[in-house]
Amino acid sequence: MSITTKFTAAFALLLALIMLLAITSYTALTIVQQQTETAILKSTNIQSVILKMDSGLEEARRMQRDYFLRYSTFGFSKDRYTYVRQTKERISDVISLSKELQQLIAASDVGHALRDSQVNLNFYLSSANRYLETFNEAAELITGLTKDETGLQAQLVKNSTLLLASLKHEGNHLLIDLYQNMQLHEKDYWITRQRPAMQSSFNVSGRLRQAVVEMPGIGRTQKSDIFSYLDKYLSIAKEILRFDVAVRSKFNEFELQVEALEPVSSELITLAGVEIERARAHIDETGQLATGILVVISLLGLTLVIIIARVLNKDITRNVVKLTEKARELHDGKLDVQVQIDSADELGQLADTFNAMTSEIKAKVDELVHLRSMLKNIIDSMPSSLVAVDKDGRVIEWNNMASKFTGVSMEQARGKLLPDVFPRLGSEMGRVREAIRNRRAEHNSKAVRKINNDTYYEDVTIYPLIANGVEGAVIRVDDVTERVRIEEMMIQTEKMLSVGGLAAGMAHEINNPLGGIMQNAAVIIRRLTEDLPANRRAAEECGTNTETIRAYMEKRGIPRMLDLVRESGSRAAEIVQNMLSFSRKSESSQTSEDLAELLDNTVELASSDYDLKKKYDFRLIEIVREYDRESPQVHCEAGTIQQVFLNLLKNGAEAMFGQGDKARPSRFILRVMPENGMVRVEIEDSGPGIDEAMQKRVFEPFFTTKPVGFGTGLGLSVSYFIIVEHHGGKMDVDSSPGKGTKFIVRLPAEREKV
Amino acid sequence: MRTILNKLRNCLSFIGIVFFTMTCQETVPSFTCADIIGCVDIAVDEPVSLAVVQALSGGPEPIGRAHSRAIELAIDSRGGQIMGHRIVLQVEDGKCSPEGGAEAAGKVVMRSKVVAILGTTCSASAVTVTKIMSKAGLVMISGANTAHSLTSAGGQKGANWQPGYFRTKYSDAQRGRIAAMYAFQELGVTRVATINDGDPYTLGLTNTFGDTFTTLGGKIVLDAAVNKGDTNMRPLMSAVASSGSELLFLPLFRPEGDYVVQQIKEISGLENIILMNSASLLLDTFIKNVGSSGVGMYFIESHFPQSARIEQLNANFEAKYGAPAENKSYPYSYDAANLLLDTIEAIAIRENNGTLHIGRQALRDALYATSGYEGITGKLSCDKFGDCGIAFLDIMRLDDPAAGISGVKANVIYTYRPEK
Repeated sequence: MSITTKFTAAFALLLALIMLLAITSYTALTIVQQQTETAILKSTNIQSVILKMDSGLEEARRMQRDYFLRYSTFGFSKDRYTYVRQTKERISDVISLSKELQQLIAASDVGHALRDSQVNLNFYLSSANRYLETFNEAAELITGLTKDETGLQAQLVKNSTLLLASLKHEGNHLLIDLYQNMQLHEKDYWITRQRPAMQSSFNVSGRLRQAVVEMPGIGRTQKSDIFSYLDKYLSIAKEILRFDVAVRSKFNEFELQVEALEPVSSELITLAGVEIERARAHIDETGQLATGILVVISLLGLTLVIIIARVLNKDITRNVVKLTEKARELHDGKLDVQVQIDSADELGQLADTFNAMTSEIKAKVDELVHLRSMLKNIIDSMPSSLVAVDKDGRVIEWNNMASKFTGVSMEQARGKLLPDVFPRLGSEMGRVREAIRNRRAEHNSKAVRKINNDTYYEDVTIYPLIANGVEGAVIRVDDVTERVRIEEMMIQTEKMLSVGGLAAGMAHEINNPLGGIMQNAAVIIRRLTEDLPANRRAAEECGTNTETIRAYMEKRGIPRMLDLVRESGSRAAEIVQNMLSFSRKSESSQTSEDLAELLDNTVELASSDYDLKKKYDFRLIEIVREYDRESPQVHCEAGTIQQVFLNLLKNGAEAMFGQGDKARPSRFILRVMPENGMVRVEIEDSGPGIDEAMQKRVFEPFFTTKPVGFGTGLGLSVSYFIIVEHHGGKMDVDSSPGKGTKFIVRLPAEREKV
Repeated sequence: MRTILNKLRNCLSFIGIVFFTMTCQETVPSFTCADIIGCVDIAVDEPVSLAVVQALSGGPEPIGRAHSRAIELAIDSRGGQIMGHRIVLQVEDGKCSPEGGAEAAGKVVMRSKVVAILGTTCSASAVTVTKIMSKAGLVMISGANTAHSLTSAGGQKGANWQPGYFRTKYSDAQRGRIAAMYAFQELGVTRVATINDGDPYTLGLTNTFGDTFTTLGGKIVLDAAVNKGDTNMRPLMSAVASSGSELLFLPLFRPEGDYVVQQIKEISGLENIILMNSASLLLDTFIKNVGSSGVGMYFIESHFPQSARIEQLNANFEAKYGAPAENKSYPYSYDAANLLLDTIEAIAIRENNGTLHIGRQALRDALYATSGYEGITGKLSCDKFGDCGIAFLDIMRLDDPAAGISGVKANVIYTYRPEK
């Protein structure tokens, strides 16, 4: 199943859930509202009916009691009828209300107690109906008793009147007294409604009857009338008694009915109140139920959401998180990440793609790293300082050589302005901008840099970076000081070679006249200064003698001039010779020589050399030897090596001339030692030393510190040439002003034959 | 997700099946009532409801209480159950008056599952109760009513007869007749005054007494009445005195009977009048109250053969209620209860699940068909008017008030056993 399908299903379920929740909420609220209204209406309606019923019953009862108490005084008047009608109406109302209540209860969803009260309500209705029947019966009885003209009371009165009339007709006071006594008891009965009172009246009527029987003078007809009236009196009175008992029984029944109804009524009122409370509780319950349903639905929904979330989480989110984590790991540099997602959906496919991508990236990155590393190695290996800057002049990259030159690491330099980290290139910023703007490389060859009074030469080349929208430049700084020197050296060498070539060409041309000069100068000196026989004969022939000629020459300084000619010639020849040494390859065979021995020989030679003796007394110079006797031999041309040694000794002696004292006597320290496959020879003097600037030039041809005429400036350059070119060695100078000078010569040692 | 849907589907299916099964079960009927009045359907966990309407207040209260307890003892003897159902009694006070009976009956018939009424104590309340219960289809068996108007007299339907009414006690038609016969034949009186209080019991007795006495040749010189509640009996006693009666037949209840007995001796000319009650005043409380005024008073009480069952019942009564009953006629109600329950057992239909169906007409028919039922008061057979009891009457006389009611019962002057 694809992710789209899963999401569709999930969201469809969620939508259904939301709709269900909304519908349920709406339904619940609607039901609650309806039930609330219904419950309240119903329960208040029921309560209203019950209260009306109860009040109707109470009123009926009151009216019935009133009627019972006062019926005998009403007479058969409109008021009595009204009273009876009103009472009946009240009772009928109560019956109607109880029927209405029955229907309400039956039709409504009332509480258990109220529904069970149907029994009592049926009883109430039945009792109310009986109440009405009883009242009707009582009313009929009372009507029978009290109806005008035809009622028993009226009949009794009428009969009593007739009886009295007949007794009065007889005019017997005893009879009248008995009658009145009878009436008294009757009245007593009407007041008390106690049967014994009427019984007393009956008893008196019996005595009256007896009296009439015994009374003389009363005719038969009259007696018959009186007896008839008495019998009728008794009959009506007994009937009245019966009616009264019946009425009392009816009203007792009323009381009993009311006694029975009142608890029912009270119970119904209570139940109505309970019903209202129940309605409220029902409303609350409904509300709670609705809430419960909502909660249940919500919980179900939550459960469903959780299930969906879990499914989505399991199928999608987790996989996405997994992918994200792996992507982050990849971002953090862990290139060997692989994500495991067992799913055929888009995420599974994405995982596969991701894995393939990371593998490829790793491979590419590995390759890039390798290339970068290699490139860096290449760049770092380059003898040039390489600095990459952006268009604002901030360092992007630089190599080891730049770090070495500046003392600033690449990490420290990155991002900084070039002049801040590579001050020497600060002046190149203009060219950098030019290069970037014109998109053309800028060159500054042999830029001179002064560092601590030393002069260096640098080639600064600026290449613009314009690829892929990246603007910047790569600055390449090559220290060409050595090259320049070499070039100069080569130029000098070329010069010397040229000189040598020239010398070679000129030597022959110069040597011939020079030889003539030298030879003739020597002859002149011999003929003028030496006491030779030929010289004496010639002098004598000229009329002089050699002593006078010598004196004249002495006086005129001619011998000295002749010496100068000879020295100059000798020097010129030496110069030519030296110049010839530049052109002349060493044709002498090289032999294995002990340099310590050669050096000693050279010292010996220097001590005995006339020119050396004239200028400085070599014997006054202390010679200190520090020879490593284990030093191997070198394969060299002994003569030229000695020449070099002699030149160095001579220069040292000249430098020390007139400088020594007791504190610092003139001294040569001679050292010979093996060094890395070479033999190192040091000739150190205690002269004044030479400064660094001069040290760099001492091997330059024609460089001299001596005044003109006192040196050609070729000695050291020739020595250098011999050592370096002829023998493949090295020659350096190490000196400090005031601390003497040390010349170091290194020649390849002869390999030991295995 | 598919698994979850499957589970949900299965769950809903299960719920639907259960619901369907339950609703189907409820729609299959197992019994159809063919009774013309109707059936009382009592579910397996429902009790069998019987109503007890007795006089539980006023003068007749001791009689009503004793009869009510007799019914309880009859139920106790069955372990409080019938056919696996508890028996529940709805007890109402009939108040010994028509209105009291009407109220009580009204409360009873409102409950549709009441099978029958055991009562009343007084015939006065029975007049209204029978009307109401008969109309409601119930049956009623009394162990105390004796008014002949409730059943029959002389083979004729009584004025207050209603279908469904039965009684295990004999009709007062016999008692009144026996009393008149004794008075005329044994006591030799020829002039009798009768007093009733208007209720069917007293009226029935005075009427039957009067009819018999007159037939025998005597004369009812005064047929008077008192109202229930009257306390001054002197005027009436004066009338009795004036009537020249030799015997006053007063089948009254308390307290009216007490007042008559106490006041009659105050009236000149009535010092020697003979007093005769039925059994409504045959109470210890009456005897103690009237004291010597009641000496010589005759009572006519039913007599049933003493048996071990009667003795056991008396013992059970005393054991349960702590004292013997004041009125000894309560075994009739014991028989009434047992007759009713045995008849229900005979006609009720019991389903397998324990539901009972009692046909109301079937119950009536079965009671009318009762013959030779071995009751504690004798063999009971019910006629078409509902009389089931046999009258064994003893005429007793109070000679020694100090001896109380037992003294009276021990002083049987005359015994009557009718042929039935």
